[in-house]
Amino acid sequence: MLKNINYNFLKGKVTLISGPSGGGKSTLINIISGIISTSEGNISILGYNLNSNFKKIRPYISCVWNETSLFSNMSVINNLRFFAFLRGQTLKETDIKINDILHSFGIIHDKNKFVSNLSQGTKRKADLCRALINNCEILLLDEPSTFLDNKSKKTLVKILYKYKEEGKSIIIVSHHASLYSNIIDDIIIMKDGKIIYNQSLEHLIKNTKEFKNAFILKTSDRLLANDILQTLPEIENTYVSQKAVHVYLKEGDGDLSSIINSLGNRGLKIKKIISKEPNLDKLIGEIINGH
Amino acid sequence: MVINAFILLTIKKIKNNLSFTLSTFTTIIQPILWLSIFLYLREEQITLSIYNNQIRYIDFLVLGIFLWRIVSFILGKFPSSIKEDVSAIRSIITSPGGEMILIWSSFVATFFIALIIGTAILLTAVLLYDFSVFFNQIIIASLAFLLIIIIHFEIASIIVLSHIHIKDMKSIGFITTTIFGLSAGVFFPVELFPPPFDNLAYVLPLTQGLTMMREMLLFPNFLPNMNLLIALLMETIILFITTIILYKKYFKPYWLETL
Repeated sequence: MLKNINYNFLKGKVTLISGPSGGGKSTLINIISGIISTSEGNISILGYNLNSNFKKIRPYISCVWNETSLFSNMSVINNLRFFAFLRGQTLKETDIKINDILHSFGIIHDKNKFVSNLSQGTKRKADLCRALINNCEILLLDEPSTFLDNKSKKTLVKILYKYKEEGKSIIIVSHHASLYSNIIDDIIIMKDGKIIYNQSLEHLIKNTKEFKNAFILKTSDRLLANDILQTLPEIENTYVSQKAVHVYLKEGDGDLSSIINSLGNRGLKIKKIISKEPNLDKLIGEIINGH
Repeated sequence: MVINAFILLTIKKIKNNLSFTLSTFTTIIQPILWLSIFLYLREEQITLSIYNNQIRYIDFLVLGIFLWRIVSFILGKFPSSIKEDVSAIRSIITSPGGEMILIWSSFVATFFIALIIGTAILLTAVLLYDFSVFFNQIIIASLAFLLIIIIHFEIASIIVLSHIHIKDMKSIGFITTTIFGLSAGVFFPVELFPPPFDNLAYVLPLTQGLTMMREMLLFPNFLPNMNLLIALLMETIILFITTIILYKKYFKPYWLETL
């Protein structure tokens, strides 16, 4: 059950909805896509009220739900053709698009197979192809990377990036936020049917101490480097991984050159300094645990 | 381009229904077997005396089985034809015009296969029993046939829209097959029913349509029974209005999800 949801999804933005299972993420997507009704409240899409103008909204929305939604006793290519035809596309332009996208996801050889004969992963890819070839203004994706291999995940993000460049609005429900970190604009975290966090990704990262004052250091001797770093006043914490030392500075004490000098003076060679990439999944996990 | 989607889905539905399965076998072969059972009547030449005319019982029976099988198929198949694509229902209802394409392709595919069944029955009758009809009243008979088909599609639509929870839609076909087969005068004239069932049988549109078709096709120069024709027309209109009201009231995207 959703409670007091009041949110404006902005046009041309990529919004990620994350949160624990049962938090209401999929329910929200199902309501926005019009397949679940609301007992109260209003949803307005592109200025149209969803309940009274569902037919007017349909041409602008394309969805992928957590379950595949294709004709099981129809070939992949005919499935994609059918849904493209419904959106007014011609056979010629549809077939070009279908071949391109099936190639991208590596399932071109499966195009004449019945959906019922496909593996879960291939079904998922075919379902994504169905939603993506429509070129709709709004794309709703519920756990789109489920059952996908790494290559297909990258393909998906690449296509979504292209969609974003074209100014389309994308709403992604996912437990794997870090996969989409390069394309996300806004993040919503839902728990127990409520939105417990909604901010831009930029805001989230800027306000997270971990990424402001943290880096990874690769040296000639990581254990010695760790010992030295722990004696320095500007260091708050460190930990040693298999290949490097992860360094966390005290807030406001980010003088990297003095730290490098201290290590160099003790004969250590600095091989690489990497600023810490944001681990969105971890961040989101911390926000959820904090509520 | 919506027409392409319609053609694609209709062909898929027809292909799936005609694929070589036990269900196809029983759908098409069963009525032919029904007729074959009466092969012994070829020699017996049992006749019925109706309206002071003698007609062959087998001719009476062929038209009965022809119409009975067609309407039973429509009632059983149309709802399940919509339901068979439940795996894609979310994509269908969120695509522009998706549900209308689903309904129309289910309608055309069901009607097409019903016609195949009807043709198979008539061909069998012609080959086995030299079945023939009078063609001078064929237009009125065709009108009665058309109205009966429309009425039963409307009844099937009301069954779908009323959201009757039946796990296997084929059971509707079974129930109607039995009820209609026994009470609509398929196997013997309703006049032979004990009162008040002889009159009650005329409540069923199938009885009205079947009586009209028999009168028009099996008797030469029989004047059309206008009361039956008007009754059929009225039923068609009333059921059409009911279907539209139910469609407007209940046909919501999230309703289809529960199919």
